[in-house]
Amino acid sequence: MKTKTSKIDLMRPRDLYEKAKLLRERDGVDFYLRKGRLFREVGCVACGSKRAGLRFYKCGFRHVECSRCGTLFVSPRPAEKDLLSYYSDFEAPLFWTQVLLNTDSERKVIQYAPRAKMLVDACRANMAGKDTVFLDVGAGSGNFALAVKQEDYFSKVTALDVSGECVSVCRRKGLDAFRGTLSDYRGKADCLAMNDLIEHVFSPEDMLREARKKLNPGGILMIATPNCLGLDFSLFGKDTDNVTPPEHVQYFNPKSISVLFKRTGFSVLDVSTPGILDLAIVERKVRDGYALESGSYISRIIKSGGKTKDDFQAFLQRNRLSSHMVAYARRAG
Amino acid sequence: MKESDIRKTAVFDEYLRLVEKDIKTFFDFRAFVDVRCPACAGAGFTFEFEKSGFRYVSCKKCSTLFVNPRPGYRALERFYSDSPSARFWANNFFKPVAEARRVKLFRPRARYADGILDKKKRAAIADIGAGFGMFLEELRRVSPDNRYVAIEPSIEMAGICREKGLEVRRSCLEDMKASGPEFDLVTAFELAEHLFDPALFFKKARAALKDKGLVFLTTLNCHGFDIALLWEKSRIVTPPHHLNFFNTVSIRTLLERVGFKIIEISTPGMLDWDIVEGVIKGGGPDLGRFWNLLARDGTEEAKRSFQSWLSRNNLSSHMRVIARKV
Repeated sequence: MKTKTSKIDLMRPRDLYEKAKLLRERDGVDFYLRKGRLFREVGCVACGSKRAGLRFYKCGFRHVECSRCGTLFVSPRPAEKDLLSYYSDFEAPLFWTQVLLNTDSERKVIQYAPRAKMLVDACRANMAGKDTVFLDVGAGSGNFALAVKQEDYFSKVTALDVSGECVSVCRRKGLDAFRGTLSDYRGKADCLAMNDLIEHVFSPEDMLREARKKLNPGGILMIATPNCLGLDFSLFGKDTDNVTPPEHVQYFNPKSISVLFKRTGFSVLDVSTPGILDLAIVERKVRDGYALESGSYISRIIKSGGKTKDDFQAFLQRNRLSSHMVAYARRAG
Repeated sequence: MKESDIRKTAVFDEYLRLVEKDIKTFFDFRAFVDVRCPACAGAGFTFEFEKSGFRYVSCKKCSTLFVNPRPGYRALERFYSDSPSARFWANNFFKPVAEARRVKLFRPRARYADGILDKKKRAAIADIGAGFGMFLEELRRVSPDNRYVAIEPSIEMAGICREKGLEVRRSCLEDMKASGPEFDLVTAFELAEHLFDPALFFKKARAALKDKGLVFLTTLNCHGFDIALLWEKSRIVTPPHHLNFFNTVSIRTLLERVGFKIIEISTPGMLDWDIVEGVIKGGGPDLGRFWNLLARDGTEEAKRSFQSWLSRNNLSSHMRVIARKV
């Protein structure tokens, strides 16, 4: 699987990625030691259920799985202001932002361009296309907003980010950009996008309610976030590279993100897992020395030919078993 | 198709219990013979596991899984012709699912065989280990003019084949007197995994084939999903019946070694996932979170599409091989 393997190395450059992983582990543990005693238990961040079972600990953080909807989340968890302070006070998230900014041109081609096209297709199919406003929440490098702009569908494309550096980068690319959170944004939009954002926030429920307020009636919300039913989560558990507390504090699945949409006043349009990297991620981890359970059939799949692997990846995609999930919903009422 | 269509679980359990008993009466482990890899004749192997006193090893060169040391040819023959478990297999295991097997296995197989035969002339076909003669019966329905020969050692089953109007040779192929090349097609379904000496068997089959004659066989693939995942816990990996588990590479080595040219090797199996799901839902050993997830939450469509991925990519446990005598 030459193409996919090289794609993963472009999007997650090995040395930078390794360094980011070590920094995250160090800072995760450090954060836990400093703030852990202030953590509070929460109910399921998707369905609200109080029943959840322990899945694993990572860097001290307790990860539980909701017995009702299967969402994987950190509980007890840091208070919202502590969670936010992590992004300014620790090296790991700052370093990661740099990695993202450096690799984002590759992401743009591989991930953002098709996703932007999908988003515009969904908007075309579901709303009237006159004088429409698009808002990218947590826009980062602005490349996704730029890809959306290039689709030439919305009359206005705006990027929003809490990081001043990201806002400057966006502006340099000619984007209309604002610094702040969603609640700081004063305008209204017809389409909101949240790429790799919702897994970071203290209360996804509050964030979606806020998103609903900012959307015009019939407006569309797109969320891209990890799927905890994805292959690497199943195989690696706490060793999944994506499990990075306190940066990520929850992982939804196709069912639970739908439940959350409904609870916060959205109707679900589509949930899919168009990921292309699952096997490449597993392959790279195994090549780097991770021992899969003995006899696990996955090791045989990794050793098989490119076509067999591509075909398996397609199976994962089709059946919502890839770790990369994209969900669309429309503001109800 | 579901596993229970062709194999009733409770009956299978009882059968395995009888086999366990028969092993004690029919086999003398001290008389077991050391063998080389039945596929590539390689001498190097790695111990995999032991089951009911039989040691399974895998070939270092071609990764065929096989029993070594193994019971001799005569001991196996005695076991198949005269043991309570063999009788139970024919009467209690096979008969109740015979008609289901006719429709789901033999009929499509006969249609497939008909497709590879040269239609311009009357063909002579021998089915080795013909059992109740169902495959030949089904093929005769499609092409009535061919000559059909059942080669079957069991007195009872050979008798049934004869009643069905088939030409019968009551023998194992290995013991048959050489009568020269007389067949256009020789078939051997689910047989290669049972054989003491597969190379000898296929040499004999080759000798019985006319020039450019075909051999059509089905057997187990040790790289197939349910076998590779369940491994020693697989109920299909059971001695003394299943001694050889080839794979898509090693079956080629074997057949080419004895003078065949491969036409097709594929794994059209349909049961891998159903077998594994049965183990997971039956509270069997933990096979890992991903497979549990697919068993528990996977849609029917996801399961079907996984099975079809297995079949397409030569990763099902049920393997089909067509080869031509050269």
